[in-house]
Amino acid sequence: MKSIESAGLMSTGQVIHGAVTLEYTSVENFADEVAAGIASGSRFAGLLGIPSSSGGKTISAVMAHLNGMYTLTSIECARGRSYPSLTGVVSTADWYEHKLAEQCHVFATGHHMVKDLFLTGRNTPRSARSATGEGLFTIHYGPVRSGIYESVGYELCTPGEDLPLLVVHPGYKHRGIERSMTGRKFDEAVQVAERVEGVGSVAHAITYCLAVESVAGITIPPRAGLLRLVHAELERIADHIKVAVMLAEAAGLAVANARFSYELELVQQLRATLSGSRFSRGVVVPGGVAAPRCSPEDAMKRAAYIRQLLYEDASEAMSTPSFIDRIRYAGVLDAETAYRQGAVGPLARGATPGTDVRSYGTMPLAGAYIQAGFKGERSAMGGDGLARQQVRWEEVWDSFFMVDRALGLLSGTGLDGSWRELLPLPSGLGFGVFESPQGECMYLVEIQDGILTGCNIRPASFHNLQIFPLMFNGDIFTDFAFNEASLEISPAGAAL
Amino acid sequence: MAWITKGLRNGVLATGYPASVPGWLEGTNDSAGDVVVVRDGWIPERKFRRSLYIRHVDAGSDGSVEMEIAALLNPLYDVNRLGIFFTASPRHADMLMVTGAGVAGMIESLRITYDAMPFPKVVMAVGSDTMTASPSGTDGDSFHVRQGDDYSRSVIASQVPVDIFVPGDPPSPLAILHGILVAMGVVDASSTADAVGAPGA
Repeated sequence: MKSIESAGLMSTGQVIHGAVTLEYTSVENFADEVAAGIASGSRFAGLLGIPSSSGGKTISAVMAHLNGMYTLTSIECARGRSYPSLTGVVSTADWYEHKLAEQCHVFATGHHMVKDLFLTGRNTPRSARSATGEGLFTIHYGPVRSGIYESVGYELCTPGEDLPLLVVHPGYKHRGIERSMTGRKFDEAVQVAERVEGVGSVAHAITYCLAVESVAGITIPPRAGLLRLVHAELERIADHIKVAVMLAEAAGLAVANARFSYELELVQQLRATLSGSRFSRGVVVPGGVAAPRCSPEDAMKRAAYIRQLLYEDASEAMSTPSFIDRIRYAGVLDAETAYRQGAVGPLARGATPGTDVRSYGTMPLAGAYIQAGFKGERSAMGGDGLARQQVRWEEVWDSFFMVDRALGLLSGTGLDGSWRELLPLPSGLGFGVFESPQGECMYLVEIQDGILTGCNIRPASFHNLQIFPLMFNGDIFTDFAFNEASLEISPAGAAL
Repeated sequence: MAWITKGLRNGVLATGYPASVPGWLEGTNDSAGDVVVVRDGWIPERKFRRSLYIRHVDAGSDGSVEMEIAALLNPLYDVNRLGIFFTASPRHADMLMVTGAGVAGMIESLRITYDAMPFPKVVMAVGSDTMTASPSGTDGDSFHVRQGDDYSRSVIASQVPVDIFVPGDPPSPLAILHGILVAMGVVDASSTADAVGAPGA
């Protein structure tokens, strides 16, 4: 891929590398090109910024196409200068533009920005929007909430039952994780990537490594791809079970809650057996993976046992009226809204297909997924909590199937031998994308002689949490817990 | 009805603590065998020995620690049997359980929560990132924080008086439970998670 340094002065033009195309355009045409992309069926996947040689930022609107290709529609913007806001084209550009202004000092003209959204240590955020009506009052919920939750703030504006306005404040636990990665060696930074979202450690590590490996131009050993798949799918199983735990808790189903949390624990123990870490940390490294710590045969037996337990309980839950009636028609995100806002993950697939990165043939791990028998993207039509839960269960069974197949393929190879390729010191701009349990995860990294000089992370949680307020279409106060669980986001990923 | 019979059929799943430390904890980076780090001169409050109510505050974690803390409530660990409960109100809490490195946006909330808690109270910081000054928990070159390490740069400790640190990134549920039992005075701080008795098991 062409280095951003050499591309820094480019005002128009095109750079193609693998599944990614950088299209440089003029500042004046930026919003129009993004709007044209959405109108032609592409999905707005984010707005990223990387330092440019001119001292400002290269701002890239990431457009995902149905054929699995990505286009970075990019402009050059000097520090302290402005570019046209995209919020008029797609409202989920809002937080991206906030982030660029607060952390990169490039500003969007036409943005309603009134306060810092992420740097809340200096400013207490206040809502830019408002609702009016008789008897309305606002409840500030968070950042510290009852129970064991990550910190995130909500403003719930309600007359007592329905929620005409919900405002999310994601920035309380902003950690500056992208800054923390910058300046590190490329092989050390993967440890930080694993900690962007604890619940998505493997997915983040894989996405980061794909970005680095695209710069280095290497291909990992086939069995390393299979082991990455095993850990990524075990993580997906764990996170999807976690949603079931939260939904069962919200529905007051104590036994279902206990059963799902027990099965979640068994998955975490299996991951620890296989990798030495309950979150599979330290497994995915640039160039490959660390060797498994137990035999694939043992892991297959345990995975099959967990699947059997989980299948019985999931079947029971999905036929229990007090469970499914609470999520049916709750948190509806219709297909049009999901597409227009660029929703990703099971949140989107509950309403419309086309966002599962694993189904893209252009993805570097596509070969491993084909070998493991990936059955294709799962989606539903309803757009409500029940549809999303059906998608998640289907994904869980698919993941168990692929884990079994991949471990079976690995069992014949033995644990000895190389599990990774050595990377030369990479230099250039790299783009990585992978399907985390929460949805599409993206990394745009700039590396100079093996040192990260720029890093932009777009977890699914960052994008989807913006869409949360749009899921309350007539839903009432007591639906909040179900909708939040069904959203399946990590505030750590949203706050970065 | 089906759920009730399912619950009865499966019976009690809780493990003894930690009489049956499974092999999956050994040699992991979860610090299961590490000792917790206690503040010099700290003495466990005997009133907490039979009952402890915990208020959790996330001060900038990556979310994995919360998952491990929540795991304490699953049937395998079932901390309620040991008199350990999580409470929604700091007014009802005996322990402040802090996670995360102490990011700027959460400092005020952390202080307010601590101030709202009645005496006697104990503060336990969970996770290696609570012992660092780095938002990502990546202070220096290592994620492994052990007894004798310098944790004087802990942002959390500069804001609230931390009595007990539980290292690990994240620490396993068993390591967190070990730290809680140290806070309750049930086990000694110098003991390791796989060397103590089995209270209540």
